Amino acid sequence: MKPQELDTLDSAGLADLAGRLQGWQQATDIGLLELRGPGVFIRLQAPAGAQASAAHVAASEALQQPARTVRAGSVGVLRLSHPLRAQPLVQRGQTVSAGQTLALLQIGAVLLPVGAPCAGTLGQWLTQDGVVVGYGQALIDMEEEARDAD
Amino acid sequence: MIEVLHTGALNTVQDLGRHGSLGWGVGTAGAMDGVALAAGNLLLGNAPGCAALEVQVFPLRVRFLQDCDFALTGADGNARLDEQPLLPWAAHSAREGQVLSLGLPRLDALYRSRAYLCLPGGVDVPLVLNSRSTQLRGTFGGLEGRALNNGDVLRAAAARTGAAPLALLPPERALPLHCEGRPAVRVLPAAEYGAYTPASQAAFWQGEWKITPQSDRYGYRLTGQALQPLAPMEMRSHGIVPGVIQVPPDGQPIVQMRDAQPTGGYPKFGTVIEADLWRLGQMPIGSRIRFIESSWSEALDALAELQDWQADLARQIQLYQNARGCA
Repeated sequence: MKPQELDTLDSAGLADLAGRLQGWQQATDIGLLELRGPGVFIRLQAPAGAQASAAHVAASEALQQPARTVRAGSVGVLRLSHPLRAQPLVQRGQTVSAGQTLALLQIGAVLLPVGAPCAGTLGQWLTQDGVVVGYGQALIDMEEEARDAD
Repeated sequence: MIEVLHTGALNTVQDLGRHGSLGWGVGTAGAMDGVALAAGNLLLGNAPGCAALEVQVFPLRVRFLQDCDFALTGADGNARLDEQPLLPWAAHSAREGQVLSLGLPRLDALYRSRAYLCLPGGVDVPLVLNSRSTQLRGTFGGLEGRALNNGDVLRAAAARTGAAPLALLPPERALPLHCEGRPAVRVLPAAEYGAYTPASQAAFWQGEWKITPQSDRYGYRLTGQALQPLAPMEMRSHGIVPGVIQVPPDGQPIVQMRDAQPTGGYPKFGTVIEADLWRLGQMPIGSRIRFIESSWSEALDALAELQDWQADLARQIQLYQNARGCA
């Protein structure tokens, strides 16, 4: 395929592009693929069965309630410590507050914080520092803190 | 709006400088590390040249008088918002009443001495001769032409930016510059370079130069092997700019920095290239640096490289602000 600007594609060209992207997507474990350009928005959602690996993780964690899995909100290189700091951002077993930064996803010069979705206790990392993670990939398990009356 | 609870002496409001006024005898002032200032502004969706607080004497504590976003770049001072540790080189959000504290810069991964606190829309102080930078010598610009005092209240031009809470890799990672293990800056030989002995010329490039405690925003006094002229020189005063390396009679060079006066009469040995002034502006007192000989075209290439890095940073940040807008 020749390099081409997205906004120069006609509808047949876009359909062709979507078809190619779908082919590539099926060859990977990417569950959701979005492409935005000037006047163009392509969203490809893999069928439920294609996310077998993620579903498997979800099933195994359901045994130890109430637990939640923190997932990557973006593609990126997982950083468990800030590149300027030797200490990891958090430790296994640590109690964290909602929104606390657990890790960073590095994309180019940007470091995207991965925040805790709730207050709770951290389990173990499901992937390693320096690994490229995909959108929605499970990063760490945590046990949600029991909610008090407040 | 923020209230300064505690500040060291000589912390000031700075933007990218008061350019175009040297002809009237007005120095440029401006951030010692303009790259960190620009990056902090970009994190908030500001124009890169918005005015910010330059913190060079620590600790600093400020209280947010209303909910406010902010960004911290430059030296890594183990910043905390109340008790919560903050990521360096990142945008954050504060609620009314929260206290931001910055401690002494860590000198491990990032060997830097000045931090920048950027606010949405920039620090709202009057524009004087097209800049909001504090001109300490002329006592104008910034906040009443002076350094910050405890109790000062600074207004941000806006409160919320809607900016995504991003962090950045500092430019030192993408654009490192070292010479035999020491931080370095590139230098163009200047008008009187040829008036020094070949041994002094060689020593300048091959030796280490220590930044003495007599160094500040006006200039850095260095110590190393004294530079010897071929013959004594008497010169009339002439125009100088930040980056010019002068040699007084004792042979120990002085690098003019952001608050340099616009004229001087010492011989000019070299000039730190514009693309590396931010590096020098961050080097702490007591550190040892090296000079790398550069050519005019290399200096232009270095500036283009720095500008490309900044443009790419702006583009990457914009991607996340856009994505957030769509979500």
